[in-house]
Amino acid sequence: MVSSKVLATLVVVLVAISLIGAFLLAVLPGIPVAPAVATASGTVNLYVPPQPYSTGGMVSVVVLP
Amino acid sequence: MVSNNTLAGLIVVAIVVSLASVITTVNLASRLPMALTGGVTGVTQVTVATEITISLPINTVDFGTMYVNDVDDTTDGSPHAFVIQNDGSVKVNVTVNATQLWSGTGATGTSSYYQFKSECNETGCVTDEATDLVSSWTNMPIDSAAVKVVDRLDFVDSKDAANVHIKITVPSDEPAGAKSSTVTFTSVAA
Repeated sequence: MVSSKVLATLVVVLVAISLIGAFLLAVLPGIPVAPAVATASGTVNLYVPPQPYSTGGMVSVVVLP
Repeated sequence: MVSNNTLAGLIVVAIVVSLASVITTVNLASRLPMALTGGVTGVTQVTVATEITISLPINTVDFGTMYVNDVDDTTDGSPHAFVIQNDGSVKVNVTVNATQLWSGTGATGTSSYYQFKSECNETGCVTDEATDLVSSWTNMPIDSAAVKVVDRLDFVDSKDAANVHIKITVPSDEPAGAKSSTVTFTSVAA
């Protein structure tokens, strides 16, 4: 039969190992993960000026003799 | 009632699991480019992570003044096409879409009034020019899902740039004024 003293020792060892693991996790930097997508933007520009506007008509004249 | 033997067994199992976790963590740490303890070593290990980065060395295409029904494109170098460059560490597939340029009839959405195509700016910029580039004029997606413009764009500096040509036709009833469209290029690892 395992004694209570042995059990207590085992528990202390377990807690110590867990604490060491937690400490290591806390001090380690996160593993850098590169972004999976990159974007870049540009522009297309132009200027449409007001259109010159003209129209035509006709003047007719009949000169009688 | 759980016996001490059972408890001891469970604790031993827990200790084994904890040890395995710690060992795994330490191994992971040893692969990172850093020193946890200040120990001296003669070897430096560097891991080049996958990096996806693109840029536009030429990011503006300005057609200047155009009248209704005018047609112009960038294939003659005036204005210059967009130049898209792979600044990362892996080949990338690039897609494109844009915001609305025109407000004239029939030209407000994706249409032949606003088109693009691609070519290498540097020889060998893609794995296969026949399939990785868009060699014919294609309607620019307007405020909709991006479409392929360059596939497998290389990252080696001597061949990491491609031209994206733009062709526009001014609609016959386009109102006068300044016109502008934002073109967005999106890249993912090929």
